[in-house]
Amino acid sequence: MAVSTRSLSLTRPKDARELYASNAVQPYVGLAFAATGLMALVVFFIISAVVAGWVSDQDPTQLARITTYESWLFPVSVAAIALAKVGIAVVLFGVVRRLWVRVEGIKESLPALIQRGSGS
Amino acid sequence: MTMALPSIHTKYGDVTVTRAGGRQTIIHTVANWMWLPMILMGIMAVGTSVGLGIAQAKVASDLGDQFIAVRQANFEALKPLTAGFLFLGEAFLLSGISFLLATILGALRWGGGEVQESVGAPVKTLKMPWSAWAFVGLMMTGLVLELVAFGTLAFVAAQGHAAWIGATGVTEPGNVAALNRAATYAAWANPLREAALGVLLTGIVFALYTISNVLGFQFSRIRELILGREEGAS
Repeated sequence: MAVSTRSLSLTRPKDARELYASNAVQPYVGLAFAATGLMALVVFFIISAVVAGWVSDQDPTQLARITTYESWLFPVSVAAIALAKVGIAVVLFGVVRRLWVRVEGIKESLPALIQRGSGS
Repeated sequence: MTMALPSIHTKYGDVTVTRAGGRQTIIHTVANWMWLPMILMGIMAVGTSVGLGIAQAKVASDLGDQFIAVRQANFEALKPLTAGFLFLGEAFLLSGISFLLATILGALRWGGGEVQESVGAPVKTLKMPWSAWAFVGLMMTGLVLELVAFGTLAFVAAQGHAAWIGATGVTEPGNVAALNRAATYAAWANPLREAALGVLLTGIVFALYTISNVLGFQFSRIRELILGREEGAS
């Protein structure tokens, strides 16, 4: 069944032609999210290496400290990966909007191109 | 209503030919509605898990100072809950990405129809290929498996709490049966949550394959329109 989604679409720009000359912000925002996630992961990796050092010491007095660090390191590091995924989503959102700009561009130029093609 | 002409087979898949351009299918409409709520729910679930992780770290630190049964019970309950929310959030984010990919497919379908209509040519549209069905199936399966894993980890949290609430020492849980149940369910819920993410990622691979196929078909169709000759039919 085919249905119209024009009214609810966030992804289709209202006037795609206006976007021809403008730079899309989504790729940059997406990259910023991914870069932030990556930098956070590097920091958490370094902290994890320090915690690994405590584990290798096999000092029973460090056990509570190790558990404390591991408790927050795991969710926060996976949250950093989630930040990169949000970056992917933002870039894809930009891709959909650019696709609609492409559709408008081809709709505008294709008839002229066909006339030229059939004339040759 | 669009009048359908006979469908044809191309190297990109079966193609329907109509006089007017089609609109997005029900799957694309759902994707258009759902991608943003999924991503927002994902961010909320991951944020919740970070909060639970910090709480768990505080309880672990307190436990290091002095063993109290309630603290140990809270720690054992927070551990699976943190992991559950974390992976549920990841699954929501991947589902949001999957819905965005479906939105791209919808834009290609709808936009492709509009472009062909604009030059007055018959509108050729790819029928939903097997890879798109596989993408939808894998995405739904992955999300359902992740919800099952989350429910199981919530059960593990309840059992872990019940096991330690009446504890008399670090090695003396109050309810050994509950401890065993928690360990048993955690043993398969943890791999299940990872497997569910794997299923979702595989679905994304199928979506990207489908997008690649549709882009190939559209390029071929534009060449057909400009050069005025049929191509791609097998």
